[in-house]
Amino acid sequence: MTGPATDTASAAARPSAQPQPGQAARRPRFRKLRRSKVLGIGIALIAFWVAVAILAPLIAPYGPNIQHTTALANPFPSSDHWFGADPLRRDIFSRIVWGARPVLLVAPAALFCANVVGIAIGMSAGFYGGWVDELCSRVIDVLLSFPKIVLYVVLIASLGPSALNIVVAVILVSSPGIGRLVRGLTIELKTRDFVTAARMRAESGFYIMLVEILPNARGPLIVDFCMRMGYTIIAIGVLGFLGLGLPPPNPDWGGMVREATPMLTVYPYMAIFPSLAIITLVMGFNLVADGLQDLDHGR
Amino acid sequence: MTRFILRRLASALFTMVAASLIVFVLVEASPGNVARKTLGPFASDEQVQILYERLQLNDSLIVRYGRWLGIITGLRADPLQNPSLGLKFHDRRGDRYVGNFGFSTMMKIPVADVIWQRLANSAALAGLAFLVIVPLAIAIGILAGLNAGRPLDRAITTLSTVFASIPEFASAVLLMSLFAVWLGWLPGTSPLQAGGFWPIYSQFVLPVTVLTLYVTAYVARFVRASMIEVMATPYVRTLMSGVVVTEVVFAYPGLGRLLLETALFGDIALIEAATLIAVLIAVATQLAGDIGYMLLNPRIRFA
Repeated sequence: MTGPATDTASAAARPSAQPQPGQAARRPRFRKLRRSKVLGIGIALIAFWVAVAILAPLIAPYGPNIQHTTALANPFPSSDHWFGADPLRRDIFSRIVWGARPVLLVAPAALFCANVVGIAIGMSAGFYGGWVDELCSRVIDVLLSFPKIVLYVVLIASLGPSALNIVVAVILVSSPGIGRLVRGLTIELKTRDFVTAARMRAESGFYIMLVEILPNARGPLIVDFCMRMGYTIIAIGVLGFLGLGLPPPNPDWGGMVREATPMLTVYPYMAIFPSLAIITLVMGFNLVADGLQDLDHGR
Repeated sequence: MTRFILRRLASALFTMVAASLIVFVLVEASPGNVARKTLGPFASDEQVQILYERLQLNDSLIVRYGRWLGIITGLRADPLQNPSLGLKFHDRRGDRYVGNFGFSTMMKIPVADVIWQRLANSAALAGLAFLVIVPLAIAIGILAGLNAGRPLDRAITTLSTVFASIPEFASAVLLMSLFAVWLGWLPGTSPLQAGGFWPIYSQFVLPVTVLTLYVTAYVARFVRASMIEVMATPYVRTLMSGVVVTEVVFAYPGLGRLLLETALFGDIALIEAATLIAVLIAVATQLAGDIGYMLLNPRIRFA
């Protein structure tokens, strides 16, 4: 988060004092940032789930895997179990709270790696052109020809379900799209004057890509990252739902919906609460992506 | 123009070959696994060893890939049908035909016997969803465009963000709870079997609704982000991903559910067949989309 986040931080770090150069230019954008309702709601949703994940031991009334025999006959929501108990009579509220941790660890970590790979591929393709571009673009085309879920299912089914393999799968599924985006941005940016100037100074290609081009591509990349966070969290949920997520008994939101679906006729809440958890977290990232895009377009 | 089409055809062919290599490597990289999976968990190690030698699984990955490609395209006879192996695998189409994906170890029948019926079912589901999605998306696009910047446009944007945030399995669970469990208006599963309480057409309502909600919202968001052209291709690929999940939720007998079942079972022949067909559809729509776009847009045609 370089763009708006830094603006907020720097504005907060320099309270009123004497006006600094550059602050005047940043002000309107900062004000817009505060006025954007969409962005505000999105950030609030993400902050809520991050807080829940960090404070899980304080918030959750029970451990995620404790089975409550007291809820055997009556698993419905009650004062003891706010969201009721699941088919194995574990507290659903506690499992949702603890379940925020794996999602918020795996999804950003996986997407960060996917961005590193995607940026490396896309930037060298766009910057060097020629056969490098041809090769990278071909690889990207081939990987993008797989429907995403199909690639996820085949990958996880052959690698085995684990957090690390989910990270590997996210890298393989997401980096081609990131690569294509970065390639386009690089081709556009490399014609700019500051790149020409850097070439005049005889800087290395590596330096130009990393120091001149990458920082100037950060806007679209941040929006893309937020959108992809949404899709990746959905994908992790889908994998859990399909039985290819984190191995049990770890609390996994998608897996919770999976376990509850056969009992939907009697206990619909068992599936609905974890679904709502996924929906609100994904919505947070999607709203932030929308809000940042509106700022860029000056809407 | 012919050159453009030929170039696109060549690139689609290349993509298919490369994708098939990826699928093959993912599924059959370890040769010991191939013999074991073909014979199932109850075969002895000696039997697995014999099949390993007869199928020449010792050869390099590329050689085995070439052989596999030969069997699928009907250029080579499927060695599994060789009577000397004693596997009693029999295919009424013979051992050499186009689209010979081998035998399903899960179902004990040729892959070709099961896969096309499942594909037809999936196509019916996706086709119905498409018939709803396309007019809906066009109507929404026009409404948003005519009211750009006004409350209606913003409401559409917000709604598409909200719906794009709901995974298919979550909307399926919510809709099922409401319409199947609580109101009892619709069936909660769609096995496509006639003669039950629910007529066949009613079994399509919830799956098509789930697909429509997600795909329309997803594509609307993408179009807004102007990352892609407004074309048919993104719809199809999103729809294909959505179909897998929807089929699993509603127990719909389609290709997507088959893919998941075979992936969980480890049925290598069926995994390869289902994945390759999915990629083929994606590549074919991309090709059709590119050529159609060119025919409609003269600027590209003469560029």
